[in-house]
Amino acid sequence: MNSEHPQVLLDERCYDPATGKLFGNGCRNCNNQFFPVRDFCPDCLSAETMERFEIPAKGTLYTYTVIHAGPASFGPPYTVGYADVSPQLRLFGRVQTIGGRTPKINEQVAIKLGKIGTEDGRELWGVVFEPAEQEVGK
Amino acid sequence: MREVAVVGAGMIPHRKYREKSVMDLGAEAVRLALMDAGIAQNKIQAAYCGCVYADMLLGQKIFKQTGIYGVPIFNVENACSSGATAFHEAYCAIAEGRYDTALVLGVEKLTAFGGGTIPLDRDDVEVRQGLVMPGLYAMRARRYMEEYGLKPETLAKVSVKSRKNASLNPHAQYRDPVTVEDVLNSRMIADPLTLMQCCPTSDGAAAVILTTLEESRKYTTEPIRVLVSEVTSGKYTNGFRDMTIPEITVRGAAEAYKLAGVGPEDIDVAEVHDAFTIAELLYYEALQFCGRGEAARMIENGETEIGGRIPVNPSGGLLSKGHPLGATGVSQMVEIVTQLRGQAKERQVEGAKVGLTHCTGGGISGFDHGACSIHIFAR
Repeated sequence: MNSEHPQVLLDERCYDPATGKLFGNGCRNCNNQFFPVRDFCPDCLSAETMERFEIPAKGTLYTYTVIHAGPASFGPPYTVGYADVSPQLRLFGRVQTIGGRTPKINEQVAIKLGKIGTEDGRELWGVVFEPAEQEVGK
Repeated sequence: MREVAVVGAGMIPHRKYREKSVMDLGAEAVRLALMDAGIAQNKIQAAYCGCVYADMLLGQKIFKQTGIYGVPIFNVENACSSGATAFHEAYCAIAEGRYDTALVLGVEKLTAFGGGTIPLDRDDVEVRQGLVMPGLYAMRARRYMEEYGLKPETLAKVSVKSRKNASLNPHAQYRDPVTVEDVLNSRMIADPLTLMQCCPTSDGAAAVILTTLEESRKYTTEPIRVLVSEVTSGKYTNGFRDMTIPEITVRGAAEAYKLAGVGPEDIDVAEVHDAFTIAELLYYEALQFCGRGEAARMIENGETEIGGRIPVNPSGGLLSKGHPLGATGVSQMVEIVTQLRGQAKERQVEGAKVGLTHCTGGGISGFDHGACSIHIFAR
């Protein structure tokens, strides 16, 4: 690993480093979805029925908090939250608002891979939520 | 199934014991419980030790200091329910006839980690990306505030009650009374939860001794009967979860009431898992002490104060008595035993006959909580 490349804090099956796309998987027989990607279905225990899919680009912010007492590598205070992308799939991620705007529960967020911290001079990347309609300065 | 009773209980004050080893903390609680029961060590047929951050064979290392060895010893980990889960195992073994007497210890030394939020599973996808326990509870609080209009001032009143009760409890870690303003003005940890709304870094230990109800008469004229010992785990989902409803506690409580043959209206006193202020409010509802969305009213009206309709956490709870993880479940039981014996002095809930303990925990993704335990006791 080159120290100039970001360290992605996710299983390598969960993203494409070239495009920044995020991936989950699910069992085609059991109607479940997972992130991170799992080796086999916890319901039918089959590995062959697991299919990878691209995480939708948009989700709904279910809740959030600003963490003031967290690891220094994430530069507290930082905002985290849960976003629902389907009834079967909720993601945890960093909420990136512009100009310190307070996120709104139930607002639409774009979901992407992005920078969430720095450790020993190296960028840390993870799941990022960007509220869709940013109002700068509010 | 045989009836089971508590015949001995002991605990050390929860504090920061930087100079003492976890073995010393545990051994002192065991000594106090043995002396309280007036039972000889050679009558203990099995011993159980609950601890979260334990090195191997912690139970053996502690129990040998109190003359308990050469019997089955079990080391139990189940996050914040470790001590209560150890109790559950002992309870089942006695009820099913495997042993007649057993000792249960819960112990933890969190100052070993230096302070701050507790270390979580580094392989967990959410923890790797910056989730800490106060953050998880804060997100529950945010959602609850959105849905029910809960105010920060109301949340803060949970801490005010907690400190008021702890001021009457010599075993509590933080005993100075505080005001709503003090609570809201303390340092922000995870919005909306300020420092005084988060359980502290605690070291502690608590122990109880169990026997069959029949055997208990040899040791005490006032055995405390165990009406139910319930342990369950969280339901796993990677999808939608209503974070204003602690599903694991809702389900655990319903099971516990059914098995015990008592309902929420029969509970005279309860020790619940108030690791953060929002938690206590969620558990009022989950334990059916009130309906959905009514928890704010309970704390505002003083219904859960000592002397209220259903006193909750007369010990000061996790927020003020302290939360040495593995010790907490047993420490709650020591408080309830003390209350049911009528020995709680200034913080005594008058006429308490039936008491409940509830602890839950474990911050891992995909679960509301990893484990939950509910116990109901009666005199």
